Amino acid sequence: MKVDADVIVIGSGVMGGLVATQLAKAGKSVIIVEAGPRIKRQDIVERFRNSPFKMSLTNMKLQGVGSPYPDLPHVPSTYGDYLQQSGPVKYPTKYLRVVGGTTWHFGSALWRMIPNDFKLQSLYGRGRDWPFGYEELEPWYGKAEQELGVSGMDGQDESGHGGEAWPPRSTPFPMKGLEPSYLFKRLSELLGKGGYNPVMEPNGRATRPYGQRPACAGNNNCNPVCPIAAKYDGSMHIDEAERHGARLLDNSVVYKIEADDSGKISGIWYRKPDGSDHHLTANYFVLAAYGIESPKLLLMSSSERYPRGVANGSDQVGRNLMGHTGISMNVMMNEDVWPGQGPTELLVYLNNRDGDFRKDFPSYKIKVRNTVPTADYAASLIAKGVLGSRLDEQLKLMSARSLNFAIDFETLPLAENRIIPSKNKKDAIGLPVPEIYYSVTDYWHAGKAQGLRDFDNFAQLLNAKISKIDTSYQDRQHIMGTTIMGDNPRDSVVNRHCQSHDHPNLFIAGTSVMPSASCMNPTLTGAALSLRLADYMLKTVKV
Amino acid sequence: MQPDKLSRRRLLKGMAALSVSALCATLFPGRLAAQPVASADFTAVSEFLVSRAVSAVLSKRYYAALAHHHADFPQRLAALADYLRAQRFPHVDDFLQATAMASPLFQTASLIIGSWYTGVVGDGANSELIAYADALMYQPTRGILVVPTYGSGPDSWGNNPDTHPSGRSV
Repeated sequence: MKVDADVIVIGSGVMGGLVATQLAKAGKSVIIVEAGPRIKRQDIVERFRNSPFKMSLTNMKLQGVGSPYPDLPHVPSTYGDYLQQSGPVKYPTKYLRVVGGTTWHFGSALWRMIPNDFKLQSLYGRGRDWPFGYEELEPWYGKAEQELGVSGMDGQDESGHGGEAWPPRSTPFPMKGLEPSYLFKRLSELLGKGGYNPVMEPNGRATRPYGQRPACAGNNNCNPVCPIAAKYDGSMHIDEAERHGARLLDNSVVYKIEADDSGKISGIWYRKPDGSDHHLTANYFVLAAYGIESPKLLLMSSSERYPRGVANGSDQVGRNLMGHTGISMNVMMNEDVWPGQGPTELLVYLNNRDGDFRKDFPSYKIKVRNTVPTADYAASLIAKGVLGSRLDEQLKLMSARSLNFAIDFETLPLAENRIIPSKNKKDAIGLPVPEIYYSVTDYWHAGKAQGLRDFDNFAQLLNAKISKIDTSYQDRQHIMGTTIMGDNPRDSVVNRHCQSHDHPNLFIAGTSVMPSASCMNPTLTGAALSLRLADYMLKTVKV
Repeated sequence: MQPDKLSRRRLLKGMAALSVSALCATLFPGRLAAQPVASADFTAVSEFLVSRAVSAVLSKRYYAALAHHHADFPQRLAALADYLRAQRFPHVDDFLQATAMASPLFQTASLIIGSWYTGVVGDGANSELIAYADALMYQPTRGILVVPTYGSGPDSWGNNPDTHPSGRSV
């Protein structure tokens, strides 16, 4: 039977882009179907500059109105009220439904997990084990670092214990790390006295020309947009896939995956902004719509034969939603450290990334915020009536001395934390919006108690005065777990090859397959899994 | 150059200009709609309040936006200008010290200063941006912190700015 393509990839973010590029390079005919529009960098940069609302990681409240990305009827922005929250803890994640996906606005942390992150259940009696260990993913991590152009510091103990280089790596970072700012040098000195080991974050910012990317110029604007494309984003792999012959359909919202009675996926349906419906067929399908839209689509694809939705024999689709639920602290230093200098992110503390304590409380990382804070401070000072010379003095003082530390805690896969298609709310083209139930357990609270102790230690070591502590379950926008991987078809959605247990010609790419979250940003792990998946499709399945 | 003297001189100069433009507006009412008479007044008051010379183009845009978002802004500005003219404060700090925070004069001053500093006029979803990189809030840390998206170039960070004045431009 003639089909429209060898492979249809649903979603044009980093994961879909990586798989599509590998398949197209191997000569396969590939169609990438993306719900959102193509965007141009210069348009987003201009919209950011011209917007009265500037997003800032130090002021999450403003994020609701601050996105310079399109908010269209057929792909409502996640910054609005698109995501319905039904649980005791909000999960206000912000992903982008555009060609290139959420990496457009990610801070670009690209960490590897460490070996023990793969064995959470057998080592610590918590969560789940992966069906394979770190050593299986190691070469794919290396390839992903090449593909995404990671800059990082070789030789660091990324387990945070100040020991030898860890995790093991067979290849060095493609690029040297970014120059540390004065803030990092000074914090490392002061916090080092308390046994806190600084670790510099590997990230997706070029430190020399890399492919078509220039070196990072310290624009301090990874989120929401790098103005010069020094930072990796998924549109770069979409461009590459298209150069190798892949076809991209934008503004095409997939709303149904069809499976025949034998279990084979036979086609997809998508809807255009004008409401028209279209059908496509292929021999193989890769679902790469990230951790909310992918499970939503599978659950929306229910039929008489598959009443619980496609790929959902286990009833695990949409469940096990994980993230990094966090807390933060503001302090005032008694010396100038200028946190807003240089590129954003980079310095983290990982003393509690791994150890026997994971039986009792979760792994976590502590990071320091270093976005240029001027807009937040100006608004709050003026509101307080600070004007005249004092306004200039205070702006300078706060910019030099006010610091924000944030903690990201690992969370566990819980069946009750889930995403489902809303039963009562639809978007403008008649498709159900996502409804999210999220909660945290005592395990998380035990981590919070431990993290608060670190905050106290930090303030003492820095001779800083704590001005605010926020424990209101901050969301870090790292979606994981909703199409979880495992060897047992009864309790997992995909097998170790990211292949649906129920439908052998359906694969899922991205962080939604991760059986454990670790406390680290998951993009590189998703990318490594996606490259491994593409290799499996080409060499073993022979698509 | 002493900023306080400068501000006062500019304020007085602006007041003189005001009377001329007000006269013109009376003689040629058609011009009133095209160019609000208060804009010269606004520039002079603004320069006093922010202790800096301000851009004529931005001044026009801030005034138009403030008048658009606050129907009574021309009257509030006139009241503040009259007060400043009468009191002859040498510096904005003297005005701030002499004026209760809750008073309408202080609030009008805060509105004008806030607009110039944040670059934004209006509230909530109705806000509009008048200036980004030229918003005055970036001035106090100029050369140390960048205006986001206007980076200072690869590896242009790393030294203590207090001991290594960089001369980097934003």
